[in-house]
Amino acid sequence: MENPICLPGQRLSICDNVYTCGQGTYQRQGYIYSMLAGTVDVVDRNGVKVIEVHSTGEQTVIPTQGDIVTAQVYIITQQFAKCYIKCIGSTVLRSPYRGLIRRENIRATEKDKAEVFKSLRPGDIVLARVLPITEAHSYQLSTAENELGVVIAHSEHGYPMVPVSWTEMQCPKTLVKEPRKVAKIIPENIDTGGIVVDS
Amino acid sequence: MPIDHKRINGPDESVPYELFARSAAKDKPRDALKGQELEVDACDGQRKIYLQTGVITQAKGSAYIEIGDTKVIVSVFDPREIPNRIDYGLKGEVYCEFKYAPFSCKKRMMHQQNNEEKQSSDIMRKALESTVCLHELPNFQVDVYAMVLEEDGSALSAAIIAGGVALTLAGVPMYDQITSVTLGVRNGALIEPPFDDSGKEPPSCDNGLVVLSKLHSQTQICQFYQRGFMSKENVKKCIEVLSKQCDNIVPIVQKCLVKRIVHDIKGDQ
Repeated sequence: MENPICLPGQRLSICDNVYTCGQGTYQRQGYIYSMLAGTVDVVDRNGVKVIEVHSTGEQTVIPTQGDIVTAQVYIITQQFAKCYIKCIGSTVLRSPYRGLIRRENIRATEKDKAEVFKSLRPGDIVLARVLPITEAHSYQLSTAENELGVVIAHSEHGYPMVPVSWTEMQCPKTLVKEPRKVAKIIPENIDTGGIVVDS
Repeated sequence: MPIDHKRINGPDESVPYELFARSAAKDKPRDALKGQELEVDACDGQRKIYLQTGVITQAKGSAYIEIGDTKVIVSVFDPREIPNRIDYGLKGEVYCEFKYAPFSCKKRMMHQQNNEEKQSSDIMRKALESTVCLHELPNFQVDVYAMVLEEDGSALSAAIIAGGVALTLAGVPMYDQITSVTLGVRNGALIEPPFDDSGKEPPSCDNGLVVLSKLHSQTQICQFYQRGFMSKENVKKCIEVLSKQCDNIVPIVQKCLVKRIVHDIKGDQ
C-alpha cells in the first residue's frame, strides 16, 4: 500500500500509548497533526508506533546539537578555526552555515597541547559534531572523537593527501608528511598510492 | 528621496488612459479603498481563484495566484541566519516583503517600498508568523517575497494565501493551512452618530475594508485588519461572512498542494 499524502495541520491520529509523534508532526489537544506536506510513515519502535511525515521536496534542515556535519575550514588562528558547514548528515545545504572549532574542542585527549595549525588547515574538509549553541552567528563544532576530524586535505602542491596515522597525512606525489587531526575513515574513492596506512 | 534617472518612470504629468476608454458594461466601479466591493448582507460574490505552484525555479517554494484580475506571485527562500542579531534566539522569524510592480496599479508605483506596502508587509508577516513553527527554526529567518503584478482588489489576501502555499512547498514546518479574504463595505446600515472628542462627526454610514486570515483545521482567526468606519454589528457580520469564505477557499489550496505533492512523488520514482 502506498503511503498516504498529508498537508500541514491535518489530523493524523490520536496521541496515546500506541501512537506517538515523530519527525514532521506535532501534538495538540491529544491528537497528532502534520507539520509538513508529504507522505505519512508509521514506524514501529519498541512496540510504539511513531508517526512521521516526510516532505516530498527539499526539506528545511538546520544544524542541531549532536548532528554530524561536513565542513570546510577557511580561516585558522591560534585559538580557533572558522569553517563553512556544507552538509548536515547526508543532506547537502544550498547555502553554507558558519561554524567554529575551538582549540580545546579539536581532540579528546591532551586538550591543552592541541594546536590549531597542526590539526587543521584552510581548505580541509572535516567531519565535526555540533555542540550546544552559545553564539548567534556561528555553530560551535567539535572534532574530539576518533571518527571526527580531517577527511580530505590537499598538500601544499595541491595533491589530495592520504592519512598515514591519526596525526599525519602524506602527499602521494612528494611524500611530504603534514600534521592533521585525522578522522578514522578510509574513503573508498581515494587511492592510497602504494602508501601503507597504519590502522 | 533621490530620483533614479536610469529608470523610466513615465512622464511627470500624465493622466490614466482609462479616462479616454469607453467604460464596459461588465466593469464594476471600484471603491477608493482597495478590496472587493461587497455589501455585508449580500456577499456571496467570491471571485474565481486560480492557483499555481513552482513558478519560480530559483526559489525553494513559490506560488502564483489570481483572484479575479488581481495577480500576485510569491516566493519563499531557504531559512538563513537572522542578520545583525547579537543574542541567540530560540525562535525564528518570518520576513515578508510585499511590493506592487510599477505597472500593477493605475497610478505607476515607485521601485522603493512606500508606506502602504510596508504596512501590507507587516500584516502579511503577522498572518504567516502564526502558521509557521518558529521554534523549529531557532535563530533563523524565512524570507517571503510577494509581488503584485496586477491590482484589482484583495491583493493582500491573495499574497497571504499564496504565501502559505509557498511556505508549505518550501518544506517549512507549519501548524496549519492559512487562507485569507478581503471584504469592502460601502454604504452600510445607518447608525446613531456618536461624537468624538475632536468635535468632528464620523460618517453616518459604514464604509471600510476588512481583511481576515484564518487557520483552517484549528478554526482560529490568526489576523484581522480593519480600515474605515463600521458598527460592531457589521464587523460581527463581516467576520462571519469572511470566515465562511475562508473555508470555501481551503479546498482549492488543498487540491493545488496535493496535485504538486503527487507530481513530486512521481518525479522521484
